[in-house]
Amino acid sequence: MTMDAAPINPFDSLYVTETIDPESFVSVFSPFIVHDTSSLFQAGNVVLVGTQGSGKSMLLSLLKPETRVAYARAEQAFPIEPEAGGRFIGAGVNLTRSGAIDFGQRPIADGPDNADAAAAYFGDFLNYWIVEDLLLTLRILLDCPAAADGAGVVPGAEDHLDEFASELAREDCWLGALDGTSSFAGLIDRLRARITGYRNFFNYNSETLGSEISRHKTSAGEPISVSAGLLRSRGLLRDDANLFVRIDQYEELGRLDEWQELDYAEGFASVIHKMLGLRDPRVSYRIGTRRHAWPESPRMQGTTAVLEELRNFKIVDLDDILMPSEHRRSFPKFAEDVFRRRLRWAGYRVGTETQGIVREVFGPSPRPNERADIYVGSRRYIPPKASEWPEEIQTLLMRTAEQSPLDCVLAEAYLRQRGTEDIDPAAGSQPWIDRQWWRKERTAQALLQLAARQRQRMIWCGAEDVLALSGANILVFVSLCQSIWDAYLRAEESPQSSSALPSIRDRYVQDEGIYQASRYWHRKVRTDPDGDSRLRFVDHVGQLFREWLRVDTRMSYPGHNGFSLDGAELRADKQLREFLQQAASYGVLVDRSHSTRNRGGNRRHKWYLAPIYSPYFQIPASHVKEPKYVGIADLRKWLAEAGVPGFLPGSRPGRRDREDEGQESLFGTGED
Amino acid sequence: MAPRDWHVVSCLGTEERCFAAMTQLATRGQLDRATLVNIVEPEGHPGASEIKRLKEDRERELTVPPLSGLPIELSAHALLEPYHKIVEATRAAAKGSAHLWLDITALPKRFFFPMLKILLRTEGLEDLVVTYSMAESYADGDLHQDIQSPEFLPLFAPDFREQRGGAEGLIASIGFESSGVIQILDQSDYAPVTVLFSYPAPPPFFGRNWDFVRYAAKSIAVGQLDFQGVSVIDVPSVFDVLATKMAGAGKSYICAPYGPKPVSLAMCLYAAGPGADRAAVMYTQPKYYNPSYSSGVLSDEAGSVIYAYPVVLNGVNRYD
Amino acid sequence: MSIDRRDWSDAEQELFSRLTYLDGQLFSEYAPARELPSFDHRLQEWLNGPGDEPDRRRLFSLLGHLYFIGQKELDVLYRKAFRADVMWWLTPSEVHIDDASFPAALTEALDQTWFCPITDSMNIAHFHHINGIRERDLRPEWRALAKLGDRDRVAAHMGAQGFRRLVLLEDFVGTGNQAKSTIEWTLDNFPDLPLLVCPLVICRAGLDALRGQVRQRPDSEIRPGVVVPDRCAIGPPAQPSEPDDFPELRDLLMRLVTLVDAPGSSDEERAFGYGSIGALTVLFTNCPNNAPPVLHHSDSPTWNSLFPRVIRA
Repeated sequence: MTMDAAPINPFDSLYVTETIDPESFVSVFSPFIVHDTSSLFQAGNVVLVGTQGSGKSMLLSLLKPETRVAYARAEQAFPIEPEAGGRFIGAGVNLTRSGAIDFGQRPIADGPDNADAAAAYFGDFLNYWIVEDLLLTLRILLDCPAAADGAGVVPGAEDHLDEFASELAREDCWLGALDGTSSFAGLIDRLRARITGYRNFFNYNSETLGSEISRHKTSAGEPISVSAGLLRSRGLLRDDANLFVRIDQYEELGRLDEWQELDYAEGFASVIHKMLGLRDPRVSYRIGTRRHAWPESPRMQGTTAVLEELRNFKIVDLDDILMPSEHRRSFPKFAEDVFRRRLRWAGYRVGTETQGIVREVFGPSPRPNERADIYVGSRRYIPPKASEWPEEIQTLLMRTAEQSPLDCVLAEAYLRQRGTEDIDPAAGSQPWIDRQWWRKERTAQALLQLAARQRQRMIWCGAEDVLALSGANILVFVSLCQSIWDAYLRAEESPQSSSALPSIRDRYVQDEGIYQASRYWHRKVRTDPDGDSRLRFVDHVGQLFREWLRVDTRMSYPGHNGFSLDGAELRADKQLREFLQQAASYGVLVDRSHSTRNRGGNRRHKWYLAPIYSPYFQIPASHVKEPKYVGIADLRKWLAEAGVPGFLPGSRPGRRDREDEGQESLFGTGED
Repeated sequence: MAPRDWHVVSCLGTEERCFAAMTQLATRGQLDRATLVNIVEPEGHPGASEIKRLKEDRERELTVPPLSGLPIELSAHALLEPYHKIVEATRAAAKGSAHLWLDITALPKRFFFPMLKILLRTEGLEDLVVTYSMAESYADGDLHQDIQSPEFLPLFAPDFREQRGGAEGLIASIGFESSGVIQILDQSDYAPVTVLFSYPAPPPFFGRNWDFVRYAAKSIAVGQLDFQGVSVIDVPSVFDVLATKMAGAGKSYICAPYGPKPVSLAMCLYAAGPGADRAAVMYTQPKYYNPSYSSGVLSDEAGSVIYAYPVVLNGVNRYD
Repeated sequence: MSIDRRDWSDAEQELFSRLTYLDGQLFSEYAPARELPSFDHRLQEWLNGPGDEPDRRRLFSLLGHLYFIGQKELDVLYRKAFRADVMWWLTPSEVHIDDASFPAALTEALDQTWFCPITDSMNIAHFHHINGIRERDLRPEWRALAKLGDRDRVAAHMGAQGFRRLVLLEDFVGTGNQAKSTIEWTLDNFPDLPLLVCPLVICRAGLDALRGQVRQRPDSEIRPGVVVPDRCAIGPPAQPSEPDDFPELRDLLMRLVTLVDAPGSSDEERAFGYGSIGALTVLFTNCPNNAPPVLHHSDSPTWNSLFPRVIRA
C-alpha cells in the first residue's frame, strides 16, 4: 500500500478478519496473543473464556483452515510453529448459526421423554455437523498444499480421500446410516442430507424427523473420535498433528433456560460435557463461551458424573491473561504490536522494534503537575474555604498554590485529614510531598478535585493514558486509536501524505478522540443482551464513584472508584451475583477477588467499571488502596434506584405490588 | 376488493391501534370470526400493572359494537415460549379458513414471522391479506428494553448453510430502534452490508438513522457498507429491492428486520418463499416492550389509515 | 478545522461527528455547492459568522434539527407518489382488486392521465423514468402555463392526447402561494378536469392552504409525500411540542437579521424565510426559500451560507 491517495485511518475498521480480507488479516494479526495461550494449541480440552476484545475470536480464527490458507498464500509463516503446536486441523460448530439451539423448540418425542430425546438428537446433530465440517476442512487445506503441509496433512492425502470416506462410512459408530457411501463427495452429501433433515424438521418444512434419523442416532463425540483416529491410521494426518473441535457460543445454552419454559439447556450442555469427558487423545475440544456461563459442576449426559477441571478440561481466561499483574505485562506488548502492524499496513514506514511506537506517535501522557497546570490554565488556583485556616497556614497554602496547584490540593487534604499540629510552616515541612506513598495514592483524586473546582473536564492523552483506558482489551485499544486518528485527520489543514510516522502530539486532538471513544463504548453497553438494565446500573455507579471522590476533601478514600462485596454474602444472593457476573462477562465491570483488610475475614470481590468509561464519568482509571466496602443491601438499593427490572421494590415475592414505581423513568424520554 | 367473510388473526396488545383493522371489517359486516393472540409478558416486566390496565381497555372494546357478539377467540402465549406452540396455535386457528386476514400491528416479529409462513401454507387458502395500522403519535422514549442475543426468527433459520468461501451478506432495515444490529455485526463477518433506510425519514428519524449507521460502520469492514432507500409502506417495492439484491447473487444472505413493520413484512415474504437458499432472518428479541409506545390511530378525513397488503388472492400467492 | 471545540458538551461533539459523517455520505449531493468548497469548509466559515461564542454554538445547534433530503429519499418519494398516491386515486371504487378487468382498467386510466410539474424545479422526466411511465411529448410546467399559456390550446392538446385527468407534482411546497395561483388557474379554466396534486415535500401551512382549495372539487385531491414536521419548522409562533431550544434559537435568528442581510417583507421573513415558516429542510437539489436565510443566503458581504441557494430571478 502506498501513500499516494488521501491518508486513511489505519484503524478504520475495528475488525480485520480472514473471511473478508485475508491479506490484510495476515498483516494485521498479532501473534503476541499466542504467546500466553500456548495451551490452546496443545492436546487437551480447553474452555476458552473471554469478553469481546479479549482476543478470543482472533485466537479461535487461528483454528480455522481458511486462516492457515491465508498465511500460506501470503507466504507468511503461520503464527504457531509446527513443533510448537502448529500442526493441527480444526472443525467446528456454532450453536446459534448451525441451528443447534433450535432443539427443544419443537418436540421430537411425547411428554417428559422429550428432554432426553432432544438431548440425544442434539448430540447426533453435533456429530454430523462437526464431521461434515472436518471433511470440508480437509478439502480446503488440500487446495493449498503449503497450508495442508503445515497443518500436518500427509502429502498425497488427496489421492486417498475416497478410500478414507468409504471406510469411515462403514464404521459402527454410524449404526449403518451411511452404508453404501463410496466417495468423499458422496459422504459429504450424506452427512448434509441428515443435517438438512433436522433443519427441515425444525423449520416445519417436514412433519417428522424421519425414520432414517430416528433409527440411527449416533453417540455424542464418538463419530468425531473415530474420524480422527481413521485419519491418522490411514496415513492422511500425521500422528503428531492435533484435531481441534470448536464449539462456539456455548453460553447460548444457558440463555435457553433463562427465558423459555424449556428445561433442556442442562441436557444439551451435558451432551457437550460428555464429549469432553471422553478424554480421547485423538480429539481436543475448544469450547468458546462467556465468563460465568461455564458451570461449576458440568454434568455429563446419561450420568451423574461431573467433569473435573484439569483432568477433563482446562479453562483459559483471556481477560485474566491480558490483565496486568506483577508477573505479566503482556497487554502493552500486544497493543504495541497491533499498532505497529496497522500502521505498516496503512503504508507508513515503521521500524521493526515493537517497543515504544505508541509513545512515538502519541507522545507521553502529561505528568500530574502538567495536568494540574492544564486545569488551572491562566487562572490562579485559590484554595476554597481558605479563610477557615489560621493565617500562617493560609499563607502557606497560597504560596504552595502559586508554585504547584497540585501540591496545594494535596496539602489541603492532608491538613483536613491530619490537622495542623505537626505542620511547621517556618520549618518548611511539606508532608504532602515527603510522604511519598500517601501522595502517590491520592494524586489521581487530587487532580479530579482540582479539575472540578476549576470547572474543567479531565484531560486524557498520551500513550500511557491510551493503554490504561484500554483495560487490556485490544478492541478498546484499536477504537481509541481510531477515534484519535479521526480527530487528527480532521484537525490537520492538509494532512501529510508522506509515509513518515506521524506525530499526533496535540493534546486536544487526542483528548477529543478519547472522549469520543469513551462515549462510543458507553453507548455500546445497551446494544448487548440485557444492556439497558446494565447501562442503568453503570450510569448509577459511575455517578456515585465521581461523587464519592469529589466530595471526599480529606482524601481518606482515594480508592472509592470501586466497590467491594463479601464473597459469602454474594454467593448467597444468586440474582445479584448473576447480574454482576453478567456485567463482567460483557466487559462492563471488572471483577477481582482480594483478601479483605479485616482480620480473619472472608474473601471479598472488588468491582470496577471498565476503564474506558472513565472519561465519560470523569473518574480516574487507576485504582489505589481499598475500594468502598458495601453490603448486598447497598447494591440492591442502587439497582432499585437505577430502575433495573427485577430489583425494583415489589419485584421480590411477598412484597406489595408496587411494580410501576419508577416505571415512568424506565421508558421515559429517550435521546434526541 | 369484493366482499368476503374474513377470519382475522390478530393480537390483543396494549396499543389503541391494535383493533383498528378488525373494527373496520366488522363495521362493513365482513368479519366472520377472529383469533386473537394474547401475549403474556415475561415476569418482572417493569410496566406490568400498566400493561394489565391497557389490555383491559382493549378487552372492553371487544364487548361493544361493532365487535361485540362476534366469535372472537383468545389464545394465550408467553412472549418467549417454544415456537412449536406458535405454530400449532396458528395451524389450529387457520384450519378450514379460506379467507385469512393477518393484522401485524401489535404482533411481535417472533410471532408474525412464523405465523405468516404457516398461514401461507393453509390448505384451501384462497385469500390472505396482511394489514398494518399506523399510530397517531409515538412516544419519545424507548420502544423496548433489554434486547437478547441474536437468533434466527422461528422458522427462518437457514435450512442448511455451508458457511465457507466468503462472508455472508447482511441486509438490515433500520428504524427507531436498531441497536441489535450492532450485536449481529459483532458476531460475524458480513460482506456486503446493505442498510435499508425507510423513507421518508424526517427528524427524529433523520438523526437517529445516521447516528446509528455511523456507530455500526465501525464494525463493518471498510468498503463493504452500502445504502438503499426503500419506502416505509410500499411492501411490493421493498420485496423487489430484496429480490434484486439477493436472488442469483451467488451468496447467502441474512436479513435483519429493524425497520418499520411493512419493511419487515417484505423481508418475511421474501424469506418465507420456497427454495433452500432463501434468506435467513436474524433478530434480537427484546425482553420488555414499552406498553405506551404509541397512542391513537392515524387517520385522515376518510377514517383510520390502515395499510392492507394482499398477499394471496384467489389462490395465487403474488409474492412467489 | 479552526473551530475550537474544546469546551463543547458531549451532545455538541456528537452532533459534530454526525455532521462530519454526513458530509461524506449525504451532503456532498448538494447540487448548488458542487463547485464550491466542501461542506466542512463551509461549516467553518458559517460558524465564524456570529460575533460571540455562545451565538456560534447556538447557530451550530440549529443543525441538530436539520432535515436534509438526499437523492435516495427523493427517489422514494417520487415512486411513492406514483405507486401509492396516483394509483390510489386512479382506482375506481367500484372495481375490485381481484376483478379480472382491473389491470386493463388501470392501464387505460393511466394512459388518460397527464403528469406535469407545477414549477420547473420538479424533475418530471425523472418522475417518468423512475416509475416507468410512458413518455409523452409535452409536460409543461403549469405555473408557466398559468402565466403565459393559452387555455384553448392546452385544452385542444389534452383532447388530442386523450387526457382526461391531470396530476400536478412539485418537489417542495412552502406556503403554497406559488402553487395556489397555478391550481386556481387550473380549476377555473378546466372545471371538469379531475385534479390530483402531489407535493413531495410540503410545509404544514402550504398543505392547509392547498387542501382547502383543491377539495372544493369532489373529484380532486391532494396527497403529500412528506409533511415537514413541526420540529423542523422554527418559524413563530411557538408550538406546544416543539424542541426545548427553539425559543432560544428563534431569538438568535432575529438577532442575526442585520448580519445576514437577507431580503424579506418583514424582519420575521428576514429571519425565518419566506412565509416565516423557518423550515429547516434542505433538498439536495436546492435549499427552499422557506428555510431560515442563515442557512442559504449567499448574497451578503457579512454572511457565509451553509447551503447556498440558487435563486430564481
